[in-house]
Amino acid sequence: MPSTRDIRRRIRGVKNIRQVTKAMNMIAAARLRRAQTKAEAARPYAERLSAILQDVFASGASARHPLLAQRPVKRVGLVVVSSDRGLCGSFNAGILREAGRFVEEQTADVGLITVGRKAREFFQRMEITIDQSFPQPSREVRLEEVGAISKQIITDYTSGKYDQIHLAYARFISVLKSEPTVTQLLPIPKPETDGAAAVARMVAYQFEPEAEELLGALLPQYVEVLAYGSLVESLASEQAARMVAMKSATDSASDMIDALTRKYNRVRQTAITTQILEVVSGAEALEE
Amino acid sequence: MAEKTFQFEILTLQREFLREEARFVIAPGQEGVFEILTGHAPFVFALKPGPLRMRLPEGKDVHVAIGTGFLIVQKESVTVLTRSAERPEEIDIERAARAKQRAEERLQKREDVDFSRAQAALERAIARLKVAEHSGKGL
Repeated sequence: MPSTRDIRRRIRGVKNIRQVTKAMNMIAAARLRRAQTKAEAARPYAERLSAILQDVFASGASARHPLLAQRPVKRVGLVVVSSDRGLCGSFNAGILREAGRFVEEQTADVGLITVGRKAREFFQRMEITIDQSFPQPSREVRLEEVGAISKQIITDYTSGKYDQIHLAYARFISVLKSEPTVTQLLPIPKPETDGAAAVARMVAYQFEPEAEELLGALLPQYVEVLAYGSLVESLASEQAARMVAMKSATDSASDMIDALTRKYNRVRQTAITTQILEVVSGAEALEE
Repeated sequence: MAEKTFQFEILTLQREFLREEARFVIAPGQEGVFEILTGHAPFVFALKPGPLRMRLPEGKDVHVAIGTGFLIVQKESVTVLTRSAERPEEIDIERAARAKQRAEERLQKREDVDFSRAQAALERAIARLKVAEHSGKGL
C-alpha cells in the first residue's frame, strides 16, 4: 500500500504534466489557425498561376520544356515532408508509412529527399540512404526556404539524377483529419484541357515573351508554388495533430488525477480508521 | 475626371497586397518596361524584379518594388502575381544597399558563382532602392 505522501507526490507530478500538455494544446491551436490562414491566402495566387499555365497550353505552344519531358523512369525521387518536432500523435508515422508504401510499389530505384528531422532520423535508423535532407521550414514558411528546396528538386530533375519526382506530405482535410498523400511534382503533369472549361476561357491571350519562353519562367514558379502549398498544408496538419494529441493527453492526465485522488482518499481513510481502532482498543485495554 | 480606370491587384503567396482602381500601370517586363492602359488586349507578361508604378483615379501614384512574377491583362482587370511586393516605406534601404554591393562583388569575381542568382539578387536590390526613393512622396 503506497503511503499518502507518495500518492500526493504523484498527483502533483501529473498535474504538472497536464499544465504542459494544456499549454502545448493551446499553442498548437493558435499555430494551426495561422497555418490555415496562410494556406487560404496562397490559394488565389496558386489558382491564377495554374490558370495562366493552362492558357499557355491552350494557346497551342508545343510544350517541349524540360520540366514537362516524360523520360523512361530509371530513378525516382521522393520528397518526404515530416516535422522537426514530435509530440504530434501519428503525424510523422502516417507520412513515413505512406512513403514506405510508395517505395515498395516502385519498380525503379527510389532516392530519398527528406524535409524535417523526423523523416531523416527514421531513415537513418533503418539504415536507408538519404540523398539529401532539408530542415523543416520555419513556421512563417518563407519563400526563400521553399525556394531552396524547389530549386534543388528542379536541378536534380533537369540534370537527370531523377526521372520523376514525387512528394509525400500530409494533406490537410480538417482539424481531426489529415491524409498522407503522394503526388507527382515532376515532370509537371499536363493539365487536362477539359473541353468545356477551355471553351469558356477562350480568351486568346498574347504572351510576352513568346509562349514557349514564358513557360520557362512559369514552370519553376509553378513547382515552387506547389511545394509551398504542400509545406504549408503539412504544417497545418502537424499543428492539428499536435493539438488533438495534446488535448487527449490533457484529458488522460485529468482522469489520472481523479483516480489518484480517489485512491488517496481511500488510503487516508483507511489510515485514520486504523488509528482510531488502535486508540479505542488501547483505551479498552486500560479500562479492564 | 472622366478618365477610364480598371481594376488592378497585386497578389503574393502571402497575401493580397493591393487592390485599387488604376488609370495606368507601368511595370518592369522581362523584355523591357511597359505601360498598361484601359482597354489593353488580353496579355500575359513575364516580369523581372523592378519598380512598378500605378496611378490612382485621383491622380496620385503608388510605387511598389516587385519581385519576379507575371502580369495578366484581362478584359476588366489587371493582376500581378509576384514572389514579393513592398511599398517604399517597408523597404530597408541599408539592407538593400548591402545586398546590391554583395551581388555586384559576386558578379565581378565571375568564377564559381551562380551567375543568374547573383544577377537576380542585384535586380531585386536595385528595384528596392529605386522604389525607396519615393518613400514619403507620392503616397
